Amino acid sequence: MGIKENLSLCKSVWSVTFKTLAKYPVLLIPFFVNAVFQGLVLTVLFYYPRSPFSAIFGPPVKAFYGIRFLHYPYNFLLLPKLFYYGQVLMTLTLGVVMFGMAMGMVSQIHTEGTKPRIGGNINRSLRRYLPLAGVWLVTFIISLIILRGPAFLITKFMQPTTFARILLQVVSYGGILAVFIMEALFIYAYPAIVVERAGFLKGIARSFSVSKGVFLTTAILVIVPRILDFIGLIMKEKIAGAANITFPDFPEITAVILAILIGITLITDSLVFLSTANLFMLKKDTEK
Amino acid sequence: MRLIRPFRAHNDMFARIPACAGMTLLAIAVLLPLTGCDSGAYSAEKRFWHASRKYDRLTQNKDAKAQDYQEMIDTFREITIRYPDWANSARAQFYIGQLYAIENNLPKAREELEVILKEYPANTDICATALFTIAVIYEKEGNWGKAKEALDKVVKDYPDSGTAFQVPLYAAEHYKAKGQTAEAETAYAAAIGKYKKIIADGPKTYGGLMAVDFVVACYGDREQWAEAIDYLATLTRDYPDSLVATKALFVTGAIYQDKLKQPEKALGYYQQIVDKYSKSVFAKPARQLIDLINKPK
Repeated sequence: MGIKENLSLCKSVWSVTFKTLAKYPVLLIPFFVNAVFQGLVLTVLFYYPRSPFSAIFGPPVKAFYGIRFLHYPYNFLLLPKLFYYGQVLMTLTLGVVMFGMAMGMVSQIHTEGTKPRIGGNINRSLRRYLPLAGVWLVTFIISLIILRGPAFLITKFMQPTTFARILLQVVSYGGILAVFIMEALFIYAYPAIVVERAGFLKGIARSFSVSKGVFLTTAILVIVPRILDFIGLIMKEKIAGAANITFPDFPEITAVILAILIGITLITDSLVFLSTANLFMLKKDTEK
Repeated sequence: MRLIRPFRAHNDMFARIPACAGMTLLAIAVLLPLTGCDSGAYSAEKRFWHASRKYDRLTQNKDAKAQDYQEMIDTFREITIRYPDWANSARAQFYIGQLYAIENNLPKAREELEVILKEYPANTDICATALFTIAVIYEKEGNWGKAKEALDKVVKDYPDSGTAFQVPLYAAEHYKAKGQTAEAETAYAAAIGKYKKIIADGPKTYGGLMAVDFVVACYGDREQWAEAIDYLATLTRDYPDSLVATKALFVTGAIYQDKLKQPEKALGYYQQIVDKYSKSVFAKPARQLIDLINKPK
């Protein structure tokens, strides 16, 4: 397929996705639930220096980061890091179940043409929890290596020259792009595991085989919404600067930005997972 | 049918999970801030941080009005009333005293500072600072007798505080400013003796390190830079393995550079730090000063 065909296919998939969403807004529930739970994690972390949460978070924060992070306003400097860990834990437990549920719902719409059931699809996803979590964990570890590995090598083995600084920037932004491409390779493992009941390795193999046929389309379906995530990432990185310069009297801005990021993730995850699930189902139909 | 029914019931149960979970979580998220969810310390910190920032801005604002000061006092007062047992309430009380002092309401300032001594006796550092400030206020009111009494009390009641260190020098500076040369000489001699003893007793302590500054200040007040340099040389010689030695080299360099206008001599001292004490905290500023001196003008 040429670029034009790929773009045309992307347009068709997005069109199908938006039409499906308009007809069955219930498809957003898994992503909404995920966002609500992440919001709860953020709420708890917002209060972590206060009683009763300080009893849980106090000792580890004191041991790993220092006592000052248990005090206002320094707690807001640590908040993004703690929230990141919370997000990882939340995605590994609840998030993957919700992704699987969304895959099941899309499959139900394609095969039965009926309103997708919530309970049935949670059940379906829960039964496939281990392979789903395995796929997410693998992609997470690979993304960590891509994002941190080259940067670590540069800072460890290169002198702090201008070239090294530029290279670090290139590697950072290139790494993010590489993570999105990697996601395009693994994304079909979720529908394969839920819809086709594939195991962990078979699911990944199936994902690779599907991506191979429509790689550019998948890459576009993943990367375009993820640009929003990328903007969010930059926003998160600049939190400290923004808090110090723009809102010197409002350290809570960090929590506001993280809450906005939850909203962004809700949109991007819905788009990425639903559009690729639709493409997977369309491919599956054509394979028959 | 038997097989289907339980599965349907199971499905219904799952169907309710997202809605129930969502509602519960939203309720928790709303209730958390409403219930306060805090023993008070965090709220106190938050109020104090915001108040301190306002205080900094107020003290830099030349157009500040009496009403602005009163509002600031009320803010700190609220902290002391709301959180009397919080560790930094004493500091809030200290700010109240300072604000009255800035407004030139000296008797009221003293009164507010005395509250610290009565209400927060366990907070020795802030008590020492409050007592020292009371002395300064007495001095400003022209009552040196009462001021000296307060200064002596700082040394007696809080001998290990940083504030107590300042007392001998402060007293000497007072006599010098008043032109009481004989008293000033005696006070300076006493201060130098005291600071030297502190260094000799603990050359590796923080107190010893601080005392170096005070000795140099005592010599510096009387332009006795040669004597200061001689004394600093003894420190480098007598305590070569302590931070006091490094500091002595650094201060000697600074005296040559800033006071005696002999940067080329200063270079030698800074270079000694870089060569002998490259891991000391003074090594980095020493390198920077070497670069600054060597920079073509």
